[in-house]
Amino acid sequence: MVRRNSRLGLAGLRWVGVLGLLTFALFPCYWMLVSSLRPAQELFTVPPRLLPGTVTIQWYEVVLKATQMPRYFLNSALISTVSMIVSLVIATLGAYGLTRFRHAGQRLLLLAVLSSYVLPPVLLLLPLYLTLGKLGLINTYAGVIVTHVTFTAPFCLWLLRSFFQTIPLDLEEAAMVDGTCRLGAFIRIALPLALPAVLSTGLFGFILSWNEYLFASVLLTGEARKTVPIGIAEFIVQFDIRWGEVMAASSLATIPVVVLFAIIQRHFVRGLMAGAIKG
Amino acid sequence: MHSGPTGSAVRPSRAAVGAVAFGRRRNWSPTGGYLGSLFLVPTLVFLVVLIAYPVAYNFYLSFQDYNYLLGVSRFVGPRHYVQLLYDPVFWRSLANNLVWTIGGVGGQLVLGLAAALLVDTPGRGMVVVRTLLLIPYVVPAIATAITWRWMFNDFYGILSFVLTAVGLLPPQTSPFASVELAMPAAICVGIWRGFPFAMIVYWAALQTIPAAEYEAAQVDGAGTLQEFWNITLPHLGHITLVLVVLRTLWMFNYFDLLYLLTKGGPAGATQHLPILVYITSFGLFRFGEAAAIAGLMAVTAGLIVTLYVRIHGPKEL
Repeated sequence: MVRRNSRLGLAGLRWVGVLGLLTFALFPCYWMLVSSLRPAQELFTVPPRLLPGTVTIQWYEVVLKATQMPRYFLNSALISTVSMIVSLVIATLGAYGLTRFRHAGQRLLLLAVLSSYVLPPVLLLLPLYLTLGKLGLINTYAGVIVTHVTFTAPFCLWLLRSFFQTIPLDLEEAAMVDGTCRLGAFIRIALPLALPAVLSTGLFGFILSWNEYLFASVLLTGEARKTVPIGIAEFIVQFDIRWGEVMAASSLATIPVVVLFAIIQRHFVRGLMAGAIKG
Repeated sequence: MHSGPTGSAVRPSRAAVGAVAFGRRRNWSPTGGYLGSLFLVPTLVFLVVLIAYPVAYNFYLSFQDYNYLLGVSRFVGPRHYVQLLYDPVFWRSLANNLVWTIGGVGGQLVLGLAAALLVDTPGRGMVVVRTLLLIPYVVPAIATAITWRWMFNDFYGILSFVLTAVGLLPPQTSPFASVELAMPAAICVGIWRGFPFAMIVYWAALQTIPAAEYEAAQVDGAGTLQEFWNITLPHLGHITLVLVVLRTLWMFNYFDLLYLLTKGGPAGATQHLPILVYITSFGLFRFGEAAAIAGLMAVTAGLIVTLYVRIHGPKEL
């Protein structure tokens, strides 16, 4: 009986802890959203008001009508989509090749992929900037996409490798016994099986590219091609930060990635589990 | 699990044992022939063009005196590296980088483990909780930075208000304007952003602990705390090492969040090495020196990876 009570007490404690964690994790998101929907007189009050009062979409109207933000959203969507596709081509083929065959120098290759995954981005910043400059790719979509692939491709490759390791070989073997060629086994058996994982990994690559600031800030100097993070950061450069607009723009930038992530997180977690269980 | 699918490629499957299938089995040869290598062509091109070449170029640059505005480059040998050793700004940035990394990684792992233990109960409610707790991990760095700056705003920030009310912060100030408080505040934001990753990795590791071990312990009359010390923690040792390495490299190299939060200020109090590289290159246009700092960061990262592979064992990465 004593034991039962202590278990019940633990369950209660657990929920207190969970509520604390949820508050810590979600309050900033809540505050961003609430602040973006407040008129100025409620935004700038002391003490700040915890609960939403009057709801207004005036900041969103300013952001969408009086700034270049809509354009930046299109730019971001384009850059992230192409970065995602390029990374997926590299990563799907590479992950399959690394898990299904033994190569000379396999370990070296894995080490190279792992190293590229943990490389300091500032290490690539200058060389890529100078090289892209020589090629005339500063301030172009292609230039930024190249820099984004430097981190999305290793990420996708690393995650997909653990996915392919969990797909049993037997099905591909059986198909080949039935007369399918090696490539056919990949395209008709392995790829469809891995497709949800491949898409989820790709979408996570999309999120990484969508959120990136460093490379885009250096490469995109003209109005026409800026991405969302660069556009929002420009609100801050000015001496007087326009909090209402900034909160609205931040909410607009955050909502798509949170929705995307909610859809793919199951696969993301499974991928991490596959990677985590190994070794 | 170490054999993995690459290992099972060698193991004959039931279907393939027949004599008819024998000819086809050769296609499964572990080397894979030219086709196996073809799959790796995009990866190799990527690694050579977008990783190896820039890294080599960066080290070349670090031995040059490069005037970006004039486009003139001159070999100066290891001069930039030697100068860095005598540069107090470099050492201060390195120290800041270590504080930022150790504080951030420590906080993320402790909070991540606590969170993993808390959400590790069955039920649909917990699935939702886990998903919600992952959100900070994907919020764009710019939105994260700007929201925390707003919450820490000197006049209207809700957190500044709370901190002032409990006496931790002078009235009408922001921690980001204080030399002492800027880094701790930034580390809090770093923990907020990174703890979900540690949580989910720890949670995944918890799922692999055999339930039989807990049942056996309960038969022996072990309490919850004893179970945690004797079963849970020992099982998490390996994954903790992996997490420490991955998160350390990530935080050490992470530019976006800290730069967008503080730009390295006030008075350099939060300037870490990535920000120093950024300012030296695109603020001062001293590309050679910036490349030398980035080069030193790369060497550090390389040492950590090597150490990791050594400890992790040579069998598989």
